[in-house]
Amino acid sequence: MSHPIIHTTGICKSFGDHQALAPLDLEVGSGQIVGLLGPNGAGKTTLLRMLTGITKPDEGTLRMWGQPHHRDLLSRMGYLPEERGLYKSMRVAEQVLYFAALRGMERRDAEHELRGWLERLEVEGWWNREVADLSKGMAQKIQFIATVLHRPELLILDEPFSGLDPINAALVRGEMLRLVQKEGTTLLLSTHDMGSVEALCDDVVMLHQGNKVLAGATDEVRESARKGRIFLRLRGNMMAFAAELGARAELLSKVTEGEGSAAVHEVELALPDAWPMPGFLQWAVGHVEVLEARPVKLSMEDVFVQTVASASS
Amino acid sequence: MTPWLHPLGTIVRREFVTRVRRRAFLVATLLMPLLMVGFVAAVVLLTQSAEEEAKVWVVDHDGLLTVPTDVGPFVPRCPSCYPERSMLSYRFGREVKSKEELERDGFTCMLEFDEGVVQSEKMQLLQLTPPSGRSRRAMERDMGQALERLKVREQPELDYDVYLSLKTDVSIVVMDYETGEKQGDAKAMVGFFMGIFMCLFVLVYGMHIMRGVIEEKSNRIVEVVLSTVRPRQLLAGKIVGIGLVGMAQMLAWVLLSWVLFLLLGLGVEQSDWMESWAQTQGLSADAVDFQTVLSSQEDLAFLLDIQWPVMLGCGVLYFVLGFGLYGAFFATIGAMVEQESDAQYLMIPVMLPLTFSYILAIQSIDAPESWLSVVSSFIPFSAPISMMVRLPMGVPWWHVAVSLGILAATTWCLVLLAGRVYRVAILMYGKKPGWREVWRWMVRPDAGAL
Repeated sequence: MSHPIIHTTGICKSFGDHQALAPLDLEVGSGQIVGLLGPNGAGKTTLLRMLTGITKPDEGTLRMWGQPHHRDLLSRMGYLPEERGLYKSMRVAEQVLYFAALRGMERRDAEHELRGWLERLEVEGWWNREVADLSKGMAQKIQFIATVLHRPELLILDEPFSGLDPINAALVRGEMLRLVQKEGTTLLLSTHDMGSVEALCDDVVMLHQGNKVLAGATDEVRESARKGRIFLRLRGNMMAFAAELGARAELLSKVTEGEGSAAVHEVELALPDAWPMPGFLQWAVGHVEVLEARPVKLSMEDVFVQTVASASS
Repeated sequence: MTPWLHPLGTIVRREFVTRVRRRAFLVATLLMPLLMVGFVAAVVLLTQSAEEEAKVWVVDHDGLLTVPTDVGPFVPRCPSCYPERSMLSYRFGREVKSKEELERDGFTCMLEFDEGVVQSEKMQLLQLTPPSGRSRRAMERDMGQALERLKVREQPELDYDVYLSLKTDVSIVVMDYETGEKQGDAKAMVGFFMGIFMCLFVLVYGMHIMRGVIEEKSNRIVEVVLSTVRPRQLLAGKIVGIGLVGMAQMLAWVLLSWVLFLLLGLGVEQSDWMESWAQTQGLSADAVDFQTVLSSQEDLAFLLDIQWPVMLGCGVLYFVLGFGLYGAFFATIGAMVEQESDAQYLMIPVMLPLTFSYILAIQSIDAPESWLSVVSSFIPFSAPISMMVRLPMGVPWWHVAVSLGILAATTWCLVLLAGRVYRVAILMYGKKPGWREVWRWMVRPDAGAL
């Protein structure tokens, strides 16, 4: 029976009087890409530090690969924190090989892997380059290589695309997908880049002020957040239509093109659960000329903003 | 290798290699022995060469110490008072010579007796070229002897030879009761320099530790490292690695100095200078070597009396333990701040015992066995410096053993406590921890990493 890679039950962490993470249950299966979302100060870094053994939870149980978390498991992980750096007095290869050695990798294997990675990330000539000479984006690629060189089964990446230009971000994104699809790596991705979440993540978990406020498959989360939202293009007396609608549905936005009776209105409405879309449309055609009607697709950014606003209120 | 030692070794290697290959390290390592050997060579060679030039015109206005000869120049009444030395020679006369005359006749200085020199015992030396201290002391001795003889002659009831046989000069040689070793201020100076050396090493390499920790914290690489190794492994690796850099530098200095001394000795022994030096000392050129030259130098002879293996052995032990003690402090300070300028006020508790030990080391030169010196050589914070000052004078073995034992135990406890603070503080950004917080981290061993 395969165990989840990460399984937490009620883990929490406080610093003095401040609760950084409220009791959290989380499960991440093998080969999944899970997005860890949340505004600044939500508790994401605290969670990642507990998963990577940097800090211990105050309470709760944390199991990795079906075992209670212990240091021997750390070599099966690769961690790229959001705030990261390199030793400026070292050369590129020397630095990456140092981290590989810390993770118990044989030097010959590490050198072989490093050559492959430098080639894949199109930086073959950087072996002896001084780290101090690298730009932020260049350093980012080296940090990514240092994180994945030892072929970790679980990859924890905190804002892996920050500092990368779109071409290099795509290159790194492609390599992440290759690791997951070809090598079965599990990926926990903490990011504010919602485009990457939509493109990569199977599941998302969202934290806000230390609490889990959203969790599930990415598509389901978007579908669920979208529920009841409808876009209409209509012609007719908008004032009368809005008055008829009253408090039965929420008018989220309205754009009008043209004037008088020829004016076309584009509106977005939030319907209550008790008023499903077919029933609403039947009602609407009785009041205005409906030119177009479709359910609204929410981006992950919309979901993020909506969830944070809702949790804050 | 055990899972604990493997990453530790990797960290130690990185800390060591990245530092020893720096140009500043290589320059300092090569330069210091050259300076040390150069200093000794300068003392030996320059002192001797300066004496060659001391040719003195002695002005004896009243003819107290000289008599005229038929052929012209004056000769001393007491020729034996002026032993023949190639480095120092006298010519006597009644008249003062001008500067031009002195230069023309090849004199380097003029010694003029004061009026009533017999009573005042004062003379003036007007120098064109300054004589060496050795030549000046020889002049004082020679002139004193000549005046003394004159005074004795004026006392008809005194026989000069009898007077000489009764005259007594006492010199006190200080020796250790048990070991029979000679003692002296010069030896205490060696201890002082060793102590100061230790103090500087601890300070310089302690600062290396602090800067290394601040670098890791400020560029945030520490989070990556700590997802792989325990904070205590990182702390231990840093202290051991940088400590080894210090030891490597010390070892390089000792070896290079030794090789340079050998080369200097060989060079001196095979040079013409050695032959002329042997002649001036009235020795056969075959019977002298570089060691003979060194032992003839009052300023350097004590170096041969010091038990260097004991000094160096204890030096290494005190350095290892003292560096561990202060290194843990410096690392903790580094972990508590994000930039070096913030560390200044935190360094006061570390600098105080070091400064106290330095002041004590100065006091100990005069009184290495005073109760303050002895007590401070048992206090772990001052022991690495104070004991090094006492060691060349001879210290009971149990003093060293107890001092090392106390130091080792204190170092162990402090490294453990420092590790507890380090592992929490190193990941703390933005807020500077207060002393109450630091205390809580020290007494709560369960806080921190997995």
